[in-house]
Amino acid sequence: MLGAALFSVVGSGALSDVAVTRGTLGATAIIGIPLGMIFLLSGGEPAALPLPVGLPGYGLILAIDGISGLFLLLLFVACGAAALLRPSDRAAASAGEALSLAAGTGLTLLAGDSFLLLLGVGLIAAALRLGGRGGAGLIGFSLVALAAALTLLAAQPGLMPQFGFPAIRGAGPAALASPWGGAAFVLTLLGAGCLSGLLPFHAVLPVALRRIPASFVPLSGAVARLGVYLLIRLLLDLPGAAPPLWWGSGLILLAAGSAVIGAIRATDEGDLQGVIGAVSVLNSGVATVGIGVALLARAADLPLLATLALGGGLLQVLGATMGEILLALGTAAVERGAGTRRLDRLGGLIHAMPRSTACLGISLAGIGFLPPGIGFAAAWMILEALLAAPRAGGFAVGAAVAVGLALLALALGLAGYAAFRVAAIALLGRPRSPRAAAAEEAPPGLARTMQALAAVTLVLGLAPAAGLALIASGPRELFAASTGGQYGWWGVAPAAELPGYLPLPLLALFGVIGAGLVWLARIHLPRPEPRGMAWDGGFAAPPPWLPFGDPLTQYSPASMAAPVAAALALPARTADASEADAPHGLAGPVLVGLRRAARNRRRRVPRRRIWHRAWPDTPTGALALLLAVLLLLIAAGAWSLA
Amino acid sequence: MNALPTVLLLLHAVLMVAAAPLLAGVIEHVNGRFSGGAGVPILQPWRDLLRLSRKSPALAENMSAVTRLAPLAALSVSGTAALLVPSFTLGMATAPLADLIVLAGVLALSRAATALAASDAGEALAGAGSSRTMLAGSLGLPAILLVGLLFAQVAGTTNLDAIGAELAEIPSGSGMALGLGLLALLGVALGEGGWRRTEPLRGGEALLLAEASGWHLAAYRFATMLRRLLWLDLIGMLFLPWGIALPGTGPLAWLGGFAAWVLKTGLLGSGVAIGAAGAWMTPSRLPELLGAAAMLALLAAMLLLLGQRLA
Repeated sequence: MLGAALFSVVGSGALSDVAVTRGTLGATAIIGIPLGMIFLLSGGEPAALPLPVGLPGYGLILAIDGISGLFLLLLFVACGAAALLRPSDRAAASAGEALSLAAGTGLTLLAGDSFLLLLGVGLIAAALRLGGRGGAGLIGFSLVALAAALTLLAAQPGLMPQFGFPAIRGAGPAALASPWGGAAFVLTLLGAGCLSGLLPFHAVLPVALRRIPASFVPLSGAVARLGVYLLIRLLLDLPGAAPPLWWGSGLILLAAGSAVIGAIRATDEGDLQGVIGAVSVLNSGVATVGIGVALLARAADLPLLATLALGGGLLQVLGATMGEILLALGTAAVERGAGTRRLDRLGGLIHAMPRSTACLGISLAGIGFLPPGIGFAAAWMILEALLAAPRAGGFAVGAAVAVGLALLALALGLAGYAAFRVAAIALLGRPRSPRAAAAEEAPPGLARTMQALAAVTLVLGLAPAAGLALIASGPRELFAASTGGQYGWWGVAPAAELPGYLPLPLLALFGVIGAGLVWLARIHLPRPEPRGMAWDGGFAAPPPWLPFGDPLTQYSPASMAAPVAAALALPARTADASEADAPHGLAGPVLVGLRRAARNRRRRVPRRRIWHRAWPDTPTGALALLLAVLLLLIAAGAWSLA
Repeated sequence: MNALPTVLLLLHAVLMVAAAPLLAGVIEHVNGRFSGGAGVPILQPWRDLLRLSRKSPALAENMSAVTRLAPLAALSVSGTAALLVPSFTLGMATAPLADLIVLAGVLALSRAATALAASDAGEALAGAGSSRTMLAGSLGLPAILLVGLLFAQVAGTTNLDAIGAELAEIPSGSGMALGLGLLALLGVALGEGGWRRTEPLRGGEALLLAEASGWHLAAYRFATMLRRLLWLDLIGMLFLPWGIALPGTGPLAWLGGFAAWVLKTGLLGSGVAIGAAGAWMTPSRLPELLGAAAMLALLAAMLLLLGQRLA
């Protein structure tokens, strides 16, 4: 397993030959996926391999355990998907970049000490820098933050800091509650947040993803999950002791907030690749909520709750990464078949590309957290853990959990809306451009891979126990308790004696009722169904040279996004050019914010109208304001009590 | 093997199928009365459904398999949801499946099936209706899960059957928090739509089903009726947990449970119908209503948590 994973690392470097890159990625996937499955299913026993290189006294260590094994497996799947896509000419120029990205991710996952971990993250930053991608500066910043966090975690009074992970774990409860421990926590959030799009860095990934070549996009999911991995490694594993309670509640709030922002962005993206970026931020946020609850549970010494929460988080990592890879392959198929990724030029793909549409539909059902998909099973576990989390602490923890729950619920709801929007605009309806009307089905190789991935995703959703078998070793190592509950292959439960979520019986119930309805319909409805033009909604009849009707009379991606902005009282964001050439690097998000503020100021909203907007002019609005004030009073009271 | 849970489930299923159109009739009647008219006969929705279900649908030329599958999917998923929520008795065969979060997911699935079918032909008004319906479902989720947090604190689980048994055993203490939670869930139920026959500005459901006809339309309407009924069932069993028959009791307790259920559902149904008849309930206010429901539920959760810590 170690050797196979090293393959991708060894094959890296400044290779820029397309065939070599695709071959290396493909070979890595072919060797790595079976080995990873065997490793995880056989229990994921931790293994370490000291390397004969390094500074005197600080030998480098390669290591693998259940958690990094899961992320490695997903990286291998992503490598396989990326190897399958034929890069365009523009992408071929940066083939080495894709390989370095994969190698950096693999190295970070395989690191058994701080040096190798930082080297891996550095490789990712270098790859992005060489390719001139956005976010390289931020990943460099992430490197510094992670280095500082690792040093703080390893620091022991009066001793040289240790850099091997076993030594850091053995360092014991080194003042996690002190300001230095807090600083390590914040630095870890900053470092890992850059990669997975946690709150201050939520804009980096979608903007970067809108510009990178399509053949890299399957890798992006695995690279973005690295942020989640780093949070687990640095916050749950390495400290080796119970963290203070505020780490958990803080992480829950931050992660749920990022999930909401990712979801809002996903309802608003005009480009399929941009949707993947936004969905990636959303998915990482949802998984990170699980890690936050696990932190809380560890602080309060509740190993069962910690196992449920971390299990949900890891299942979400598994399902979301598979869903994103499938969505990336589907996007590539759509771009090849219909000539564009822009939602406002697609439509009606279900007629021209039925097989790709079915696979995309399965991916979107998972991304929209609909039962009985894998996304719903993961979200169910995380929600159950969150609902049980208030007993980990006092009122402050309970309040943070309640607010985090409300945010997470909003994110899950909006994720469903975003997935529905993509399906309704791109897959259903009428074609919005002649090219989309003449779309072609994906080539057989791509279609078969998509079908295989979709089948795996379906099975994982219907039998979450299969996914739990892959992820179980990580939580077992960390908390010495097992995930999944009483149902075996039928479903999951929070604890041995509690009822849970049973997707297969639920599906059977749908099936029985559906079969009854079909039987009724067969008996009573033998008549043929008349077919005709769809109602034109009162628009004038289209000219004969528009065989699919006037595209302007269809509901558009922008009109689908507008109600969300209106409901959440967000400023309407138009897909303008300033977003596409947004400044990158460390100061990028700040500059974008300043530019947006300037733009809003230019619009010159009269003073009176601002006051109007702030003051609710309806009974329900006034009620909401009243409740907000009440809530603040309660919170203030509770704080003074605590 | 004990066949009793299955028998109870079948009784419950018959009750749901019979009562859903009746409830719709009561709502329309009350609506008509409060708008100054005579009110339609209570059995009218039943007659409409039967009449529609005998007609073949007129289908758009450019429709896909989604249009054909969606009515069956929407109705079977809504039917499943209606089987999960207990009405007159606990201990039905679906009790292990009946989880509040799963229920929210199943409702979202049923809504998604209807909305996808509405988007299939590429018709503008149905598209507008589908986006409104999906958004209402999305924005209702925070309030539902926060109410789940309330009952998870009380009963230690989100399984409806277990919550029902727990509520029957102990008199619920924190009345204030539960009252706010009740208001929140009523708001979410209002957001389900279809509580008014003639919605001003053409509400989500009327737009959504603009393209459906024949037995397809009957299936969608029946699915909406089932969803409305199950909201009342859910609110009744969570917040007015009186009279419901416990597992292991006999036919007499079932009868008592049935009488209590009729009373509760009638009361709640007329109440919501009167509330929805007011001119304030416009589709554009729906996000505000759901936002207020989420705030109420958050407040309820905070109150409950604070009360637990002080006690």
